[in-house]
Amino acid sequence: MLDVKDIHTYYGDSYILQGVSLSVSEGQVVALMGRNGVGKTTTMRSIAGLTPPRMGSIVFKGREISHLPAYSIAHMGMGLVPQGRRIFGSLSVLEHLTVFRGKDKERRKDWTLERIFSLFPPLRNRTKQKGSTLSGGEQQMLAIGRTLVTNPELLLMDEPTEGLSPLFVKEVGRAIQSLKKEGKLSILLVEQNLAIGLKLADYMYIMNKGVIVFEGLSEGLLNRPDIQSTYLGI
Amino acid sequence: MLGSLVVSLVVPPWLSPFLISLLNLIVIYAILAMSLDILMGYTGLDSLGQAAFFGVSAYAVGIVITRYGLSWEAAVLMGLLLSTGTAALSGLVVVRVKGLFFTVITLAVSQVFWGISHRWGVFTGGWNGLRGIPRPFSILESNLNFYYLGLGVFLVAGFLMYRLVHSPFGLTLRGIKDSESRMKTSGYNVWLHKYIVFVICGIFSGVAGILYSFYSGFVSPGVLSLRTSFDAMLMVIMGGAGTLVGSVIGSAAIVTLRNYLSAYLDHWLIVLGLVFIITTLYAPKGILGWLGVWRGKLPIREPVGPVAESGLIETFTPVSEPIQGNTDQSAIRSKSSSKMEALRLENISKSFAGVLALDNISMTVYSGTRMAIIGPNGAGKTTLFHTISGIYYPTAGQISLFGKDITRLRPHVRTNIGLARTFQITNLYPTLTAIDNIRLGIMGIQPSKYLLHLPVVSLSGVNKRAEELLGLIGFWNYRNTEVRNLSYGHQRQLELIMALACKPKVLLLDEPTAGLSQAETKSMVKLVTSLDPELTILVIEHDMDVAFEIADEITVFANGQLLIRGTKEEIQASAAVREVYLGTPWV
Amino acid sequence: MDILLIHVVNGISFGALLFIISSGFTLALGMMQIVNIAHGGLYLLGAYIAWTVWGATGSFILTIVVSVLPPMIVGIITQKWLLRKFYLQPLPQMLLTMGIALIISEMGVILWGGYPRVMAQPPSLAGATRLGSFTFPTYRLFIIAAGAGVALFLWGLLEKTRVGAYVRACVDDEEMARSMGVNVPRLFTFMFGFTCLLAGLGGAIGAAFLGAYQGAEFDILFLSLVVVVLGGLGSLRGALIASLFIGILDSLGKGYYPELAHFTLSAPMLIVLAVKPTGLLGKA
Repeated sequence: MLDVKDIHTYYGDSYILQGVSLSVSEGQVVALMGRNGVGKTTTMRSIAGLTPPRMGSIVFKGREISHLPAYSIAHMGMGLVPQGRRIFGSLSVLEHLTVFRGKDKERRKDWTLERIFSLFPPLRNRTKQKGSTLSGGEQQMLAIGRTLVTNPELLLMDEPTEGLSPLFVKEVGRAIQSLKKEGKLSILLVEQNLAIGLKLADYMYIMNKGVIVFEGLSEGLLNRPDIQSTYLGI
Repeated sequence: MLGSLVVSLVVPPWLSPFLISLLNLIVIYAILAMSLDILMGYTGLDSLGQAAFFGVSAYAVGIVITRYGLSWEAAVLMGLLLSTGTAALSGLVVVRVKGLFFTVITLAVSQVFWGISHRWGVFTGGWNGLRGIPRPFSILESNLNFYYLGLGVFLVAGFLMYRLVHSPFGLTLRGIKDSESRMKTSGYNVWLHKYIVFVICGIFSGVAGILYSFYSGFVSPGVLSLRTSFDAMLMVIMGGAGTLVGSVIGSAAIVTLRNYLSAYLDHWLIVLGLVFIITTLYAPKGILGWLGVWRGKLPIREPVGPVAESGLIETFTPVSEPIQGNTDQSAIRSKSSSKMEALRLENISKSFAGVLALDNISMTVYSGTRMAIIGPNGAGKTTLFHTISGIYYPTAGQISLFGKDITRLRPHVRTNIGLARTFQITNLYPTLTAIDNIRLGIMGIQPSKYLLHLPVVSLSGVNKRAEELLGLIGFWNYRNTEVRNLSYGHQRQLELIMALACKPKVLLLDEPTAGLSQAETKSMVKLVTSLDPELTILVIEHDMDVAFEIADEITVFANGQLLIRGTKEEIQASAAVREVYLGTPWV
Repeated sequence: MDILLIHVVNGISFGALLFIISSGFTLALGMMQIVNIAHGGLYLLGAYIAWTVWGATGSFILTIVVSVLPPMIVGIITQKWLLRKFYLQPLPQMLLTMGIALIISEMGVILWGGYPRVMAQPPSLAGATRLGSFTFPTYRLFIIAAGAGVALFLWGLLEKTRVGAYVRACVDDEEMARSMGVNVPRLFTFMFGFTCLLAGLGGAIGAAFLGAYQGAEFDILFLSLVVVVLGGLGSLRGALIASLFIGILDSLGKGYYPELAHFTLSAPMLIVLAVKPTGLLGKA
């Protein structure tokens, strides 16, 4: 599904990604973990086409996408749920869930409004509300829903539970788990919180200072408290 | 430079009347263009309204002489007064906004004057304008002689403007262009600087207008029109913004073009339109930029790679100065009897459109403390720094610095009381050299920042201190490198030194080691730990090793709240902290 | 009292025309940060073409339709080949559109001889209409209706259509809009062309009212600037309110204090600037 090979990304002169490689197979949930400032979000942005890498290759569904514009990548079937939600303040909930759907009638069948509402009940009664009036948790649900209606094959989620109250962390986590159970979506998940990462992901990459320092099955990480404390804890 | 001066003095008597009239216009518009260059190229204020001051003073001369029959001295005086007054008044409104707003509003305001000039016919002569403005002296009736007068005024104005841009005040303008936020947190009242330069440039534009009025003997609404403002801007850009000389070249180019074209082509406006388009597309940096002469210096590329890095570790030697301490910091600090309250936060909350970023934070930090602030992303750490330094005002609560309430003070005032900070994303002045960056850091709290007439390089006190500060990181040899050509690691270090330059008592460091290599991180930690023990330091860090090495106390933030505060051991042992970082799975 | 009402209605009609003209300018500014210096020139182009087409065909509908196309095409070409290179950089865009403005202005002289052209009012819209005990020039009522129509259309476009949702999304967070699959470059080209079409529409309608004359391109730009600064950069609602406000104030001013005619346009703008530089409905 997704193959990232040795990408190097800069923000201006700042050398953020210094050779990152990872891959996500079909139907897999992969977590990208590490503390703040190590380059997780930059990796997501590079894959989504917002901050293209200067060197390296990104192959999605067999096509090289590292220099495609973000909207082309989105049309190919990649959906981004960005850090900080970033929903559109002037658009209503209903608009979020309808205007970005692709034209492909076949793919539209998968994610109907009804399905989104059953996944995220709080959105059902807020269809006419503008995005800026929702709470943090509701915004996060909307951000995920907005991307789901585009029927992506690969979902990039950047810290979906960040800044949410425990109640919403549970709700969102539950939603992601049910997505995982269906097995149709591949998910690349960025998380800072180890417990959430372990719960949701099958495979993990841990980053530090712009490079991947550990990768393996989630169970494998459970037995390595040393890695946990060095790269994730205090 | 000297050659062109000789040429401009010696050659003209041999030229045809047409060329002499061109020369007159060139020097007049050069003054206008240079005044715009100071605003645009040096301060970053793109004004499309300079025609207002040019035209107002031109009309003042015309009206005073033809309507009131007064002397030329009165006319010149009125011209200067009116352009100064207009700039002073409009500056109050216009300088409050930035960027696109500023440009559109300056355009709108100058258009208002244009409208007045052709509607208030009784006073201004309407579309026909005012004719018959005589030259002050009969000797000036000759265009050649007038040219020499104009050249003289141009040279004086040019000299004054040259001194201005090389003065301490001039340096502050370039700092504002590169990073207003940095200037504000370095102690500069940015609004005031912008206002002063706006008025000064308005006066220079007015001088050009006065000359124009006497030269052409005739004023019409054209002098106030959009076209004059746009022509001036094109002159600046075509010659090369930020160079002063470029504006002179641009003036020569555009004046020549306009006059030759209109003499030979009926529809020369189309060519002028194409000139606008082609210049923008292909020569955005102007003729001077195209020739690679940017402020007379070519960018010096600093050597990057292992050589520079290791050089950095070796040259870094703790200097036995009052600003630097000895090795046993914590012992000295705990022995210090002055346990003054350096920083106090009481019930600080900050919300953004319903999202509570800081939730009822209260903490007291005593002087000499080294505190690290850690916590997961989105916990509110940088928001905390922004609130303490004045970039945000809290929604509730109070902040005191050494007992003084600073809650509503603007950032530059806080710096002058003793607060300094670094930024998470490097916030230096990219187009300025390392030493100019430091100079700005030093002058922020000094009155010398308002000096207009001396070259900034002549301030020996500032130079000496710059040498000391740059020496702390072994930077003296790189002092003339433009900051944007420095490696990221070097920029991060310079960022720290900049904060030290304003003699702070409380220092906020926002992720000082972000993006640094192992070696660079080591240098940075060494630097921070050797700072004056009297200095109170708060550091946001994600690198736990760094945090633990620098700090005596750790404060953990999560979800906008202050979770816990204690020693390293206490924090490492805390279950609550572990949960915040590693999390407990939900059921 | 009767005179007052007539002045107010006259003011509303001028305001309606102002809104039609400045709506495109506001939209370009608010959505794409483009200050279209050629906006007035596009008005002039529309007005000149309207005069010609009307004289040749006598069909008002055809006049309107044909007049708005060339401005739109100029807009599309300008955006695609020139402005796009300076994405979100207002200053180079202003210089480029200034160049375009000069070229259009001179084309006016070449093609129409530089003489002022006022289109005759279409017979069906000429003369006067009785409303109750008052009589108003029919064309003025038509302009008010047209202005209302444009306002409704724009509201519908932005609030009710998919394209409008994309536009609003771009204004909120352009990067995220791209991430969601919105082809922003193509959207901008289309929208900019549309704003130029609106300028041309203002010209076609204004041809029988303000006329077409050399210099109109800068007069109209000035009016658009005043509306935009007063109403708040980029706010269509602000543009509507500001247009009506200026229209009425200008009409009342001309009626009662003709000597101060020009100030009625600039004074409100300057006062608002002094108090709230971001305009009545502007965001900081």
